[in-house]
Amino acid sequence: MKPRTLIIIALLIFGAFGHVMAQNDDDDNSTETPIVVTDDQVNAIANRLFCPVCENIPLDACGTAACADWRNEIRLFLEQGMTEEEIRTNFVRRFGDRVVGVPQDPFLNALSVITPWILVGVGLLVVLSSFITWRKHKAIALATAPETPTVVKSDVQDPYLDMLEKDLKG
Amino acid sequence: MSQIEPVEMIELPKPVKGGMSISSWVLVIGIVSVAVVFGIALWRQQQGQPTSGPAPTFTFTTFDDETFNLADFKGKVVVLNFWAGWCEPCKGEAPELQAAWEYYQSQNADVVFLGIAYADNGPSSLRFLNEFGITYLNAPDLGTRISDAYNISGVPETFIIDKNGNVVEFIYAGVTRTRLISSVDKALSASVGDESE
Amino acid sequence: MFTEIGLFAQFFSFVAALYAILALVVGERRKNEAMVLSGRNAALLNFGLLALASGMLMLDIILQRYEVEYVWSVTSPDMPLFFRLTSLWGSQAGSLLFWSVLMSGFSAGAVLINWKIHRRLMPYATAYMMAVVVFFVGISTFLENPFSRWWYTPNGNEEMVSAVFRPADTYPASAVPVTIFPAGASFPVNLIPENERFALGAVVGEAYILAGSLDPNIPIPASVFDNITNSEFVLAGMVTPDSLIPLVALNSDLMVSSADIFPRDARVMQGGLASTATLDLVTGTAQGLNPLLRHFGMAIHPPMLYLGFVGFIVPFAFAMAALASGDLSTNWIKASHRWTLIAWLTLSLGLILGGRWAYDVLGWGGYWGWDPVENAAFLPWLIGTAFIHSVMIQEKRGMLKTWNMFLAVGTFSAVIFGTFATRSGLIESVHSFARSPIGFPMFAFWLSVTFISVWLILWRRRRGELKDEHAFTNLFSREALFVLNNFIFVALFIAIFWGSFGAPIVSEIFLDTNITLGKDYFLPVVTPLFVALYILMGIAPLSAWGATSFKRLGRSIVFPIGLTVLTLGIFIPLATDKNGMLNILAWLGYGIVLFAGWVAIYETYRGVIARIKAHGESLPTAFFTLMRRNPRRYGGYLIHLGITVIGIGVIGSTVFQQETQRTLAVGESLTIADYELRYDGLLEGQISEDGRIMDIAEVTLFRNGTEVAHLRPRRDFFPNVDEGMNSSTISGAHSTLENDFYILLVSWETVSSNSATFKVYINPLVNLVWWGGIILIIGTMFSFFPKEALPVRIRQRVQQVEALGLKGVSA
Repeated sequence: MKPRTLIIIALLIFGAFGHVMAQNDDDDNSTETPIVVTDDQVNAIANRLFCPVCENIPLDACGTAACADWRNEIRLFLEQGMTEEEIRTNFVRRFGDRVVGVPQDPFLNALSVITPWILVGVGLLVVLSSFITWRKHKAIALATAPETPTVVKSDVQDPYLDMLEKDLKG
Repeated sequence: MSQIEPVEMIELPKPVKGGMSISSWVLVIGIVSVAVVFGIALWRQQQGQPTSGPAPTFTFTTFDDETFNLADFKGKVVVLNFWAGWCEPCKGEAPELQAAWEYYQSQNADVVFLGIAYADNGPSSLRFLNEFGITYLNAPDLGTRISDAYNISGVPETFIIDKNGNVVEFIYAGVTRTRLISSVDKALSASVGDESE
Repeated sequence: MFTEIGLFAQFFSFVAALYAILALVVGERRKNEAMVLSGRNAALLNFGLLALASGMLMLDIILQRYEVEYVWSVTSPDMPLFFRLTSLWGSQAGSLLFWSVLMSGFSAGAVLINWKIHRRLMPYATAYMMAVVVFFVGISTFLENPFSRWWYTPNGNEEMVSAVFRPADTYPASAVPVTIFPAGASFPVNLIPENERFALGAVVGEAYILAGSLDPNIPIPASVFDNITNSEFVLAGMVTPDSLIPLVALNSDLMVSSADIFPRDARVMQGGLASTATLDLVTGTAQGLNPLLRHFGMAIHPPMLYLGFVGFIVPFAFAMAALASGDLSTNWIKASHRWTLIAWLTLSLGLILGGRWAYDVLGWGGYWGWDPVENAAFLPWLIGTAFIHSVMIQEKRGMLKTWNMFLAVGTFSAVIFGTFATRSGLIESVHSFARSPIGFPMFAFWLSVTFISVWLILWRRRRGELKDEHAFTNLFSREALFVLNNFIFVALFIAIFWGSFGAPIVSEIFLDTNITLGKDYFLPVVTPLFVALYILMGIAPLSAWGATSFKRLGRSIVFPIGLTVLTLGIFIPLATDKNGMLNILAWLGYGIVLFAGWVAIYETYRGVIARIKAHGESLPTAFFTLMRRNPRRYGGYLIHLGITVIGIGVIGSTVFQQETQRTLAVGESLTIADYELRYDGLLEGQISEDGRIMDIAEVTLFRNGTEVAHLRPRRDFFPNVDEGMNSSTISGAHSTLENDFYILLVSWETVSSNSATFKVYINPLVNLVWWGGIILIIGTMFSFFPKEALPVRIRQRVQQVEALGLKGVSA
């Protein structure tokens, strides 16, 4: 393969890298020392990513060779100083939104996160409207058939016991 | 056996209703939409890989940074192979594909080989291409859109697309050069027949 | 023989169920008692036949009848008996039959126990249950028959075909003659037909079909043959005829294309038969049970889950029977109450065991991964739990009749939906079954069940037959709080359903993008809802039916709140992270959960004290009388306590989990929290009785300098299983009250006697999750106890009197 290819690939894959390099240029003292990346740092990021080829397995818990490769890649990215967000973006660009726990695409993100709350909100409205209807009924019901007092007097003057006895009987 | 009398109800005034209540409607619409969505999903899921008909087109940028569209290859038979560097069987079939590709190059035939790296990372893809000395077109499947379009269930999987851009064959699992050559030859001769008509 | 018996039993159970439906419905309509009774007996017979069919399949499995395709696909000769037994539900066809027999068992139980007392509901209820059974048995009989067998076609192509009945020109697989070769037998290459580059197999009659490859480019699975030279193949194992296994010629993982030799659809079969002793020859054929399923938890977890799932058929059928018969009183609830609890108990148990299995076997350090299949089992639990609470309102106050119907239907609909989603291959996951032809039938069934039931409910409702007897009087009444509780359960259902199924499928269909929602989605959405649930769990028991005065509520809440505040002090260290910072939110979380628990305890205590005061009883007497008077209520409080304990465990293990991964040389140590771990050495290549090869790391654990345990985390490799599922990581754990030290031998790094990579988790309070589960189970069992130990007849009289009395009150 042509060397040109390799360069292009390097640019393609490490697209965010240039950006980081630019940042590091400003920040002189960090460029000198190579960043040591621990397994824990890699796992922390991998834990929030899904294995792109196996459904629903977090990348840190996935035992295939491919996953090991991807984790290694995370390590490389970290060594180059990429942030977690940049690594996530890079993975999403290459493997699609399925590799993250919540889609990065703003529309998909909103769709995923907001919809349940809208549905729950609709549910809440239904509950509230039912409460209101019930209260209306109650008003009418009271007017037509006043409820009999429900407290049954017992010889012991403990309201809790009364309540309890009533409950236990039911 | 005597039945226990149901408890008498307190008569509540009947709310005025013109058909179903709003919540009933919400419920029915909810069930219907869940049914429709899952029906479509199920139907799609049962589809599997295309074995005939127009091949889904896509744009891709090769590892050599050239950009093509599948439609650019109209008039040629396309061997579309999905692979990945982490896939063991792919390593077995890579020399076969390369051999078949060299064979057609030597014949100057209207054949294009296109490898698509499915969910594979760059360095590992490149290692793979170098290791097997692959010279035909190869591109990463960014965002796995191409593999989604072809509904692949894993790698390796191979599609043969004829000169008119129709899928004529789908090969599950690994290929061998004899198999490939017989399939491609069939597509080539069939296409010739089409043109003469 | 067994297979034939099973096959016919299964078929006739289908007929019996059909007959039962017909006889019950027609008989009930025409008031023909004899007909109804015959329908009832047919329903019982259905269970008998299904039990017989499952028994036969079990015998086939035990006796290793590999000519039965199902047996061939889930077991292998090297599997120990225990896992052999569990493989009855190890794969689709068998688990469907198992599912049917459990369902039919529930029906039979309901028929036997409830027939006399609920005579009016039973014919319809039984008919509904049989209708569901018919569907599942139908699938077993016509689409996924576990008794399908391999048949050998001798003419030319030497293929094996799978069919229920013998196709023309084939022979039973077990009747094919096999020549016996000892290990080490060798065959000249020229016996291999020229066009066959590869074939895997044994020797059938005169046709030699051998494993190997003539093409040097194609790697040969080394296990197949010991020794391959250019002129000779040597058999690694021995072919014996005692048990015959049809061979899969090739599987896609081996880099040889069967398509070169055989048409794709015949990929399955080539070459006749081999025998059990030739383990290496059956590589890729009799696969045996998925290694991940070879765990003790897996033996109990699926049956429990299935029991929970199918158990909800009883409340569903009773609800439907109430709607169909017009007996819309609380009879259907009374009739199904125990059954609902059994279903709920087993479903809860199934979920907890599933969590335990994931914790032990899947090796991600946790018990719940928000995986769609886990969620599919959790969804019916949510609706079912809402149902258990909500029916109390109907029983006490005659309210929410429509809603309870919806919950009974909804629970079962969720069960069918979950079954459909996981079994059709719609949702791919570690737990799910592969793509299969049952997708559309299951979908159609789910849709019709849901639509018919909803339509029936709406129809009865519009006729005004589901009207409530009381109205809500007070927003702080117990019934109002129960409604809120129901709302939150439903909200959880919506959020989890959306995350597992809704969003991924909607975005795939309409936006052409595959997405996965993981814990980044679930935790933020679900946490506030669970917090609200725990708060309600704390307040609701203190409230009263009808109306709660704030004064009274205020008075009764003070004590549990005080207790909560006191205990929260103890929880400060448990709410402190590894940097010594107090996590205020988690601490408050503990508080809310604790409050719910204290209320459960306090309410019980109050009842006991009230009894002591009122009746002058001793403490134990008061306690037991109270329990006896209302086992459901106090069993319920015990369940609440269990849920509290689980809640504490969940907060601790989720928020304060610590993990680290390090590669250690022998003798080296790593430190996490107050633990120190030393790598002592490796036991490499240990072979267990079921053929797995284990690499076992030996480590010593120290806590604060003292040795506390020797742990043996290991990696299992299954040589006879497809790549991708041929290995599993078994954790080692040291459990203490306050945390689990959980260690994994990381599977992707090379492991040697020099060094190994370990992933270590500290899971604080994780054991409370299991203990809470045990409390929950005890609580549920407790609430089964009959209220009074009176004979049925007397109880009925009492109930009648009570009913009359109630009438008097409400009139």
